[in-house]
Amino acid sequence: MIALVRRRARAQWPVLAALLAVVTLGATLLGVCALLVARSADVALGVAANRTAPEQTTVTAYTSSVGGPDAAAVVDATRDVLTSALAPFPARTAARASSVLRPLPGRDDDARTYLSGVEDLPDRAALTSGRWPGAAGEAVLLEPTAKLLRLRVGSIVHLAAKPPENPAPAVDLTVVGIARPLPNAGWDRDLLAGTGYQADFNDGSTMRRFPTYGPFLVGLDGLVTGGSSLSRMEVVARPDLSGATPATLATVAAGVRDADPRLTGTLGDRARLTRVASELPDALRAQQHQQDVTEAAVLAVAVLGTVLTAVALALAGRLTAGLRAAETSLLSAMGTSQAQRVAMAIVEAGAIALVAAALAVPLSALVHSGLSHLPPMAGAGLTTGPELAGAQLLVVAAGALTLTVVLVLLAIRTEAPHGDRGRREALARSGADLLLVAFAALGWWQLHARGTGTGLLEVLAPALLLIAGAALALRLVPPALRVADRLARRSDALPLPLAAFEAARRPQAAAAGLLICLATATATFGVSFDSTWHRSQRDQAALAVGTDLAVALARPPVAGQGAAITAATGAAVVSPAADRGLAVGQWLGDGTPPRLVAADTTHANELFRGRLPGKRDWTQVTRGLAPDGPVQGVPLQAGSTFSVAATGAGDIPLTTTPALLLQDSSGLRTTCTTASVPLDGTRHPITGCVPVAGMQLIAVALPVETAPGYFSPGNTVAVTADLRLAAPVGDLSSWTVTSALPDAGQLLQPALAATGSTVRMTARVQIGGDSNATPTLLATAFRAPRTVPVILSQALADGIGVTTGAKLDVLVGNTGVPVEVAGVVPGVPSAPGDAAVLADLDTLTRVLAAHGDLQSPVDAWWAGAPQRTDIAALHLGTVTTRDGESARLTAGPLNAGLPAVLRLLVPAAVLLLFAGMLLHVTHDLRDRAVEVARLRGLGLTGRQIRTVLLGQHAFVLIPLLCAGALVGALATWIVTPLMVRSETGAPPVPGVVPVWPWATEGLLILVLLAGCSAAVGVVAAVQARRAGAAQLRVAS
Amino acid sequence: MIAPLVTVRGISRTFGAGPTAVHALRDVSFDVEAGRMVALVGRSGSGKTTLLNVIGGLDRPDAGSVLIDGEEITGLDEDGLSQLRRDKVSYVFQTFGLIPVLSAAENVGAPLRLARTPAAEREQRVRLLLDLVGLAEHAEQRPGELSGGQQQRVAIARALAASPRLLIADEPTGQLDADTGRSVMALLRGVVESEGVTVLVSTHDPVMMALADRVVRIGDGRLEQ
Repeated sequence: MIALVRRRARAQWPVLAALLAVVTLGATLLGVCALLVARSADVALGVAANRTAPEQTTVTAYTSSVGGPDAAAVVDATRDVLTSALAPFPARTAARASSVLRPLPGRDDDARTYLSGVEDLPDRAALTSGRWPGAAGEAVLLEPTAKLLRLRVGSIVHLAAKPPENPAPAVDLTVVGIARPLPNAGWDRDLLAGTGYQADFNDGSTMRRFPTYGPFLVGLDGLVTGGSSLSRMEVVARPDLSGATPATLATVAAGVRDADPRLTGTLGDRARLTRVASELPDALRAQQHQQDVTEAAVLAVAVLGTVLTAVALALAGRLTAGLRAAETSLLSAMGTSQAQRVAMAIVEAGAIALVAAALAVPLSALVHSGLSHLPPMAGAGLTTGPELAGAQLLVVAAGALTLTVVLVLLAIRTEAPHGDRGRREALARSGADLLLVAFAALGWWQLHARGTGTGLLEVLAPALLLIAGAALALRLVPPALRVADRLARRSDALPLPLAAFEAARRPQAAAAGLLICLATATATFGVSFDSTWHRSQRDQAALAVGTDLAVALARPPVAGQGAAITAATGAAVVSPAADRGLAVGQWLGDGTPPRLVAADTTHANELFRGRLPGKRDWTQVTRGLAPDGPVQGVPLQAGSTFSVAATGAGDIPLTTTPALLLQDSSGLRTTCTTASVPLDGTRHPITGCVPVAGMQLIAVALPVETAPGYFSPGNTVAVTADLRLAAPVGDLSSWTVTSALPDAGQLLQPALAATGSTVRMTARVQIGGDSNATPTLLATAFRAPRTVPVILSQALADGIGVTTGAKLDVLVGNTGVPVEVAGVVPGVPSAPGDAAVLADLDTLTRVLAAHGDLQSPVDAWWAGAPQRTDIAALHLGTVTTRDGESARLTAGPLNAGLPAVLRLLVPAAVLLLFAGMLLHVTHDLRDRAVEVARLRGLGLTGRQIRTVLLGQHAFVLIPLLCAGALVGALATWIVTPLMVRSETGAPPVPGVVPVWPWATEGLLILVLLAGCSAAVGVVAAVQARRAGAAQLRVAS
Repeated sequence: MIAPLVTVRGISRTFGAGPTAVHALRDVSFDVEAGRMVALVGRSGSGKTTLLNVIGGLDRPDAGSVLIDGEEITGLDEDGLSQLRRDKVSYVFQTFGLIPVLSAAENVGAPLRLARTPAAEREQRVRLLLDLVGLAEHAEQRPGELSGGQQQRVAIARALAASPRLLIADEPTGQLDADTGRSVMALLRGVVESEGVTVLVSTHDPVMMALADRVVRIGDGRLEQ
């Protein structure tokens, strides 16, 4: 038997080579998918972890109220806990500690100061004079502290010992340097946030507030070993995650989760409060989830490729069985049993599987390596050489064996009598079609109803839908061919009508038709899925960033930043933006407050990004949100100063804290205030308000308060405030002077007058009353609308059950603001999927000002159409770009697997189609060689015979290709919106828009048509040339 | 003396080369007069089919010439030979040679389509020919639905469709039973009589030889006269 199989293999090697090629192709595809899912996924997780933003990987331990004797040990123990939590990764730690507040000597205002020890101090501040502290007793001061305390390099400060409840020994500090804090260097965690001074600081240890100066920056070691009690201590550990594997990442995530109780247990009562905070476990979990999403899509593609290969193999197997029909009959006639035939088929299939697996293992390793050297995998850092993996070997072997089972089944299939077979096959095919449609519908429903996870049916769904579609589409071809048949009958010619008759009337090989249709559907679906996925990722990136370039500010904005960003980026539009939480009474949500997004809506199309449904654009959506025109305030010279003098008639001690609202050339509104001043006619300077040119004064607020502890209801006081500017004020007739909202009627007869460079504001203020609000005299260069028109996100609108036209009260900071819903959009820029409110920043700040809130809500900058995006040198904060986010989502290590496997699927489908077509045509024409020869006998020329042969295949091929493309298009519309997910596995926001790239798809179909035509053409030409006496002799 | 329609002179045809070469025809010469039915007789492998293929332009001789209706055909190119088969020579094969997907009428009409005969004229001619071969009632049936004899009748009707001067039939009764074979031969005889077509038929059947005007014997690639 083995000898027979061997001899047959020698004789029929082209057939076996074709079978081997198909099995090898399928097994290679599976092997590559296995490597993508197993090997690349592991590498991707490591790369993604290593690329995670530092603020997400750092682990910070906070402790407070550490006794002086324990300080050094607490620091060491905390470091140990953190480094062991981050094991096996090496971690670099940096500690900072602040002493308890200590009285400043020689002050009558009960002022306080404190010492801080900061590791890596030269990385966090820049020396402006002197040097960094070295020995114990040496200190560096921040510039504002030194200036306010009138200390310089060489000054010596004696701090007395502190009482026993929080002991701190006396210390003499020598100022050895003056420094300026660097932006984004962690000064936000300083007691005074690096400002150097706070007039009324409370450290939480008492109810009292003190003027506080500091810190005195000393060496950390000196501080923690000097015996001083620490009010705060913080250790930051930064792991080096390079070379991470899923196992080590799981270990570190568990370690970090466990660090908090470990630290508490380790420190015991040596510290009052301990806490370990890190985003690392959540970040790693999110990355794993994202990887799972990609893996599910890769597996779906692998299933699709396997199904396609199985269909190609079924075709090849049937053709082989047909070729061997006579041989099989002969063997049966010679007494070969069914078991022997099965054994022969198994031996042959086993050999094919073995060879295919042996070829597919290195091939898949090579293809995987090749893919990893191409974008997007190369860009994602997933480049790898050819390598083997256990999963790959297993999948390739299993795939090859499974595929060759198809060959065995086809080889041993018993042929029924023709009539019975026809009926049985038709019945079986109808049943199979119905079953496929049922499974496809189930798969679609599973996809439709799934949450963020993925099950088996969802992975199978695309393949089920495509094969069901292809099976149904096959049923459309015969009616189309019958139409061609009817048209052909009307013709007087022979070649083309004969081709049409042949196509329409000859029983078509269902396997070949299915392969052509399914391969076309798969290839076109692969192309459109790739385009749809990329489009969706870009859409998600655009909406997530909300603009082309966003800067989340690390500190409050300052005038002139907009101009600096414009200069640095060359952006067409730069707008200050607010992106913060707000409170909406009706909102329950998930505990996360809705977000307020506000920016310049007068340039919405240039500034806002994020696809809107239909053909609407952001200018249309935000129309009506912005005020009618820009504010025209009082122009100011750069560096100019103000002074204010206020008086209140009568003997009631009143104070005011004048606030000036200024606007720079980019529209940024900043507030300039001074300390609370008494209404005693004394003039007080207000300085540092106009750091850059192009600014203007647009509002002044004077809250009138009684002195602390004074209560005098019912008195009305005439208040006058003169604000003096550096230059003549000009005409203020367009200004409005009123009481800030809510107006409790306490402020009467407000008036405003300008004389020269002085603005006089007057009013009669009723002291006390029922209202808790401070009566505030407000002068503005604009009229504020009563409500802020806003656009709501669908999530918020649904959550609170409102529609366009609804009026709401929201809380921005501490200020209640009435808003009116002007529209609802699926997602607000920078807040995809969130409950969010979009407003015009100008309108919002006008309304806030009208409520006496002049504090800028701005915490970001948005830039539209920037020429350059690298503005790190400005040290403003975290910069995010739409392009960068797009690149992360489309070519990030956790996402790159999907486009890579699609890049593999499409050529595999094309190759399988060509191979199947070639096999089918070769067998078909060889079976009909005599018939072709007789056409020559009829008098047809070689060209006419080629026309008949080409035509009859074209009549079948073209409808099949069209049907396949139709199935691919339908699958694109039905499946891709469900298959494309966000990185969390949830449906993307904005929703997925199926993309059918006409040019690429057209080119692909042309390639398929040209390839198939070439295959048919070559075979037909050979057949037409051979058609002659030899075939007729055979026939006779 | 009737002028010959077919003149064969010194035809030789060898398949293969060297020691395994098969000399199918060796210096064969004969004439076939127009309007006659000539039976070509010989054992299997004697060279009958090769000779018919050479005369019909389906095969080319290594040497010699064939004139049909005064036209030397051995020098014709492929298109010329196709034109010859379309206009002057038609075939009837042992295995009938019908196109399986076409009905009987469509098979008969195929040569007329090749000649671009208008539909009305074509249908009339097809009806006439099917009537001639006694299959008018089977016009819409496909070859698979007809008996062997009926298929061969359709093949004869098709061969006559383009009004050829020469009809070559290569063992047309080889796959038919004796009665059917006789009726087919009778039909061919009738065609010669009624249509004036020259028929060159190869056969083993003595009955058919009796129906022929002349019998040409061939053996081992040579004429035996």
